[in-house]
Amino acid sequence: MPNKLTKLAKLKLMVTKMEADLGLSDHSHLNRTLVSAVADLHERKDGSASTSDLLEHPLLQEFSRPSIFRALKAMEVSGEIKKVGPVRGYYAPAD
Amino acid sequence: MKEHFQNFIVVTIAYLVAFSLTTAVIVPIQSMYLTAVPPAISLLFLPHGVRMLAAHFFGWKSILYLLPVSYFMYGLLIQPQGVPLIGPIVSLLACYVGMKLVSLFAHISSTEMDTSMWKWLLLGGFLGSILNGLGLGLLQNEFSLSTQMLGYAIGDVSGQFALMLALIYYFRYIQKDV
Repeated sequence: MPNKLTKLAKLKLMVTKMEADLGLSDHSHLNRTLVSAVADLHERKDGSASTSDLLEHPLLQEFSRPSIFRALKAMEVSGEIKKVGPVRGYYAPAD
Repeated sequence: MKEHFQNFIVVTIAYLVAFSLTTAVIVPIQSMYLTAVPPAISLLFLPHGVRMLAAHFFGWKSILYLLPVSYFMYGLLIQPQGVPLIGPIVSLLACYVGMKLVSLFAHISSTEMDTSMWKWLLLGGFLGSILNGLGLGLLQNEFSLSTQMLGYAIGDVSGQFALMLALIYYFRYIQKDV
């Protein structure tokens, strides 16, 4: 049984890696959608996208709040988006 | 013994499903839109993906696991195309050797083998397909580099890729289900 589970785990790992490499993973999908939503709000809302506006953005309704918060943090660290303004929770697309 | 039986059942069902989809769905669509391609060559041959995944996970045993269903499909669909009786063994052996060759390459960089296994598997699938095309071509004495081998290689590798893509969505689906 462990051997069978190892093989299944290896198959899943390989498929997950392929999914990520091809940009098909949910994570990539969320990141891409989030960048679009930030860009959209940045355009419409005086140069910044607030967290509350992002949570209500139609493009992001399929994702959970924790996923969006996690993605915002990760994308800020990776430089895909940047924090703007004097208070917390406002974002803009990276330069 | 039980594990071998389970492996045998899994690869047999996967091969049957992949072959049925290829024969009942892909080949008719291909015949409608790509009339220049001989019907004996499927440009999206899904069973090659099953053979390669089995060769990767079960090694030489994959040949034994897949032999009965390969001969079943041979008797049903492939024999009328003039493929000799030893054809299914040649195809399974070619897939195993293709995967074995890739694992020899991968020893050079085992890290790459871990992180990008799916790419190595596709390379193994390509090599296996070339060997399969060569073997079957030689057996039939009508070897044609331009059509037969190229047709096999395109169909086999694209079929393998399509099957692996299908696995992505299958795992995604069952993850959502639990």
